[in-house]
Amino acid sequence: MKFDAIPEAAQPAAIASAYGSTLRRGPRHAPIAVPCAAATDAGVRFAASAVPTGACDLTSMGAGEPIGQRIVVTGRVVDEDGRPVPRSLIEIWQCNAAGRYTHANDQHRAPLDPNFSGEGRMLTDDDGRYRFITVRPGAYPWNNHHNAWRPAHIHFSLFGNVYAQRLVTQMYFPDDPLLPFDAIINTISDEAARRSLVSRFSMEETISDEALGFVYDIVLRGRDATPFGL
Amino acid sequence: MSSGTDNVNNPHPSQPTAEVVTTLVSTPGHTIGPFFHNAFHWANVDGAAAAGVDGTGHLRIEGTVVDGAGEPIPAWLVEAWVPQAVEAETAAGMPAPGFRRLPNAPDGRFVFHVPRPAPRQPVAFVTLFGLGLTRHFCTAVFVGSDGDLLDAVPEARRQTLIARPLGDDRYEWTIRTQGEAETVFFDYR
Repeated sequence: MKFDAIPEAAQPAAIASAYGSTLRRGPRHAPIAVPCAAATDAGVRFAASAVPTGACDLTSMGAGEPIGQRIVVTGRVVDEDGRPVPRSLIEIWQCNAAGRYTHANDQHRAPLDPNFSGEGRMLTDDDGRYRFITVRPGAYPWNNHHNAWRPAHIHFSLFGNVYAQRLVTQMYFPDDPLLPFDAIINTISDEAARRSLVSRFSMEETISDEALGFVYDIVLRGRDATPFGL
Repeated sequence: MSSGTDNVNNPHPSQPTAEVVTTLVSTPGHTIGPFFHNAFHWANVDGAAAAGVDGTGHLRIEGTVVDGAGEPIPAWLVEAWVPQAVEAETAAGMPAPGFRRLPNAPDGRFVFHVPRPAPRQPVAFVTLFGLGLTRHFCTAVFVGSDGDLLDAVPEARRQTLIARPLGDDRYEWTIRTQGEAETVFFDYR
């Protein structure tokens, strides 16, 4: 595949004064652009057996129902030509409805939910589509500065079809009042790029009497893909 | 930049507008944050189980991630793409042929195993994620001093990509995310 430069303003700055832990950790040199077929024409292919079909329903992992607003999170994964990216592994993780992660390092004052671990994974279908069932995550504090709160978000990890398409990002919710204050999304200076991380509410994806629908489409890097399977 | 502003008018490819959208702008990366470990654990693999399946012998890469002050960085994630392992690991029925995923230890250390590379190729394409990295960064590790990727790097920085032999097919490699001798990161085209 062909990969173009990402405009600087459309990706997070490596070092951002408002995001404290970048100061000693973010690289100062720009990455070196280089042609490399091993990275742009091939990548990890997970065996279908590695991805159980039920792993896309995060509300079905416990003995009972998780607490919170049940939601559908769905969308389409395409490349820069708008072509679907099929059979891409997607992993998601998130905190529970109270804003607490099932993780030893999250000890802030919010309850764990014994019926919610906040982890899911699936492969995109032949049309690049994915669909998870989960609960809406809460906001939570982080110690970046006084009164620092993360807007509600779901973490996404995608492998694409070639190594250079790898992406780890976050999905936000529309009209979240915390977004303008968030030091992490504000590492991206371009407003349209920030907006592309915000899902949209969809009545078509909403399930009557059951779950609200949110659509989050993802564009992976790369164009001029070889048709899948060839 | 190509006609990327088209995406502003059509941020949702699943609902195409009437006009033809030629080039979309890719979704920005974001930090992996501190809480990914449980969700990623299912695919943790260091390649030790694959040693021997390809018959080319395995190398052990012993790495450390350190920050701009030289302090080890704990609880990050190192992933490696190992193209020379794919054929044998596919034949052996492994679930993610050529893939390594390694959360690093509290002292910043990680270890993975790879077959010997083809001439001029890195032993692994390495992807780095972590708290304080606003997006992932791609680098590569070599066990020799020749390679097309190395030729693209200013000579003064090449050593950051070459692991030091410790004997017995063990190699030591330090990833420095910042500062003097900052590791070279790549943007593959």
